[in-house]
Amino acid sequence: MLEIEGVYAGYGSTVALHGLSLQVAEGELVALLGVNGAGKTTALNTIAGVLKPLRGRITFQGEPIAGRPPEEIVRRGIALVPERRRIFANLTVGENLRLGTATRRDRQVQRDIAALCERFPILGQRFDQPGGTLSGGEQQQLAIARALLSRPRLLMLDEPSLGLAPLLVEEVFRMIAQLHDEGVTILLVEQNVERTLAIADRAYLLHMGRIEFSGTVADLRRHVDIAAAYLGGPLPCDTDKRTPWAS
Amino acid sequence: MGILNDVLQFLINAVSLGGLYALMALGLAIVYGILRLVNFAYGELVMVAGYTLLLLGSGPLPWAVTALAAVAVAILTSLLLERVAFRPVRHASGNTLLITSFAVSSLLQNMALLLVSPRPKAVYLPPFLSENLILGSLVVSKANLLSIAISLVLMGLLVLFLKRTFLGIALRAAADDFTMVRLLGIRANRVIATAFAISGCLAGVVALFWIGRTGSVIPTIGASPILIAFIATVIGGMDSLTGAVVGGYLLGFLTVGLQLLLPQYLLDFRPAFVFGIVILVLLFRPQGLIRSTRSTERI
Repeated sequence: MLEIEGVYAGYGSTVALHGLSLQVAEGELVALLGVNGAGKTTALNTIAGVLKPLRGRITFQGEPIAGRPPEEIVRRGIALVPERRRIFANLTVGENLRLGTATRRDRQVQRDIAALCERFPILGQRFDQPGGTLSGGEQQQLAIARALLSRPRLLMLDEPSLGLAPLLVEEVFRMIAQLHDEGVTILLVEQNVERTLAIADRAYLLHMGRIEFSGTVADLRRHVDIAAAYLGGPLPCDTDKRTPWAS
Repeated sequence: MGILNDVLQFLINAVSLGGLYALMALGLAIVYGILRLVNFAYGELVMVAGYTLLLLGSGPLPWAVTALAAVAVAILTSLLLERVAFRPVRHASGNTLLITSFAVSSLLQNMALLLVSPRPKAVYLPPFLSENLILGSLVVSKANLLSIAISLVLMGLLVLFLKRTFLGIALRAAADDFTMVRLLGIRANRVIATAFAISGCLAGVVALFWIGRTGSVIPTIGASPILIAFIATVIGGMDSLTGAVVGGYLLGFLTVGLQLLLPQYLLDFRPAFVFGIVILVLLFRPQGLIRSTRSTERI
């Protein structure tokens, strides 16, 4: 469904992705893991069109989308829930949701909004209140609901559990797993590795802008010392790459 | 009776001028909100509307049609400027945008100098604009009453547009987080063009009343409106449309108030007093009167 090959991207003169390649198949929940600064957010932003790749190919459903503007990429069916949710704080919950329907021309919109308010009851209760008055967890629900209103074929979530209280983290992961069960294809960037691996089909481990490991969750657990990978040092999954002092 | 009359007279004059100033400020603030651009070519939109009045005013068209045409020309010019001048440099730094607006402003002024005349040209105005309404001992100009009504109606329409329509909501959201708006599939070009169209419409209406006050149009006619709009948005709070309106009315009240309070020999220095007070306001509230409500992170 989504294929990325040899993508370089960055901000200004800083290159954050050095030849990223990954695939997401229809119906999969794929996790993109890595330490801070590994390039996870850059990867999602490049797919969504916020950043233009310097080099490389991105195809979605067989068509090249690299370098296209974000408003076109959403229309092709990729929705991004960005880091820190980015709710429009001055707009009401209802207005936030209404903007989520920008790509829609059908008459189902009102019904979909009503259905989402049933699914995330807090959104219905706070419909006319400014988005900025919601708590972090409620904002996350709003951000996901807003993204779902474009009826995405691929939903990309950037650290949805960031900064949430433990109870809400649980809730967010349950929500993601449920969306996956309903058949939504998901590319998930997370810091919370354990919970992510519990729901993901496959995972990529990103390190310094390159894929260091890819495979099923079981493979990942077998071959990679996840704790060490997350401490940010050299990856212990490949003995050839060990640093001198480690041998 | 005398005092009450004076107060009423003052209020009508101040609300009328303040409304005009508020419209000027709104036109500037709505573009600033989403592009972070102080469009210094905004004054020239007033100018093109003015020359449209000059051109069509002597013809056979009824004045209302001429006035609508002037507003339409201001809107089209604003859209054209966005398309040919600002869009190509939109992704450059804010300074580039600012310099572009200076360049456009200077270009339009010089075109008017070359194509029309550097001298003021008298514009035909319908007689009712210079008529007064006499209510007992109160003398009110019809132009003032009309400008009060029109500024209130326009502000009402703008609020309705921003609150009720999809594009209006998108415009408010874009002032908050433009990238997120695009990530939802809302076309950046449409949102920005809408802001420029509104800005042009406000400039066009301002031109009608501004020229209604002076009766003539010159290439530099936009200088005062842009200055007033800029100062009003700065004292009101650069990021807030409410701030622009508050700033506009405040400036109107100050101007009319000083006109009444200053002794005759100081009246020539009225702008100095107005700006002195503006400086005082900014010393105590450098962020403007209305605090920006840009989204703050909440976790």
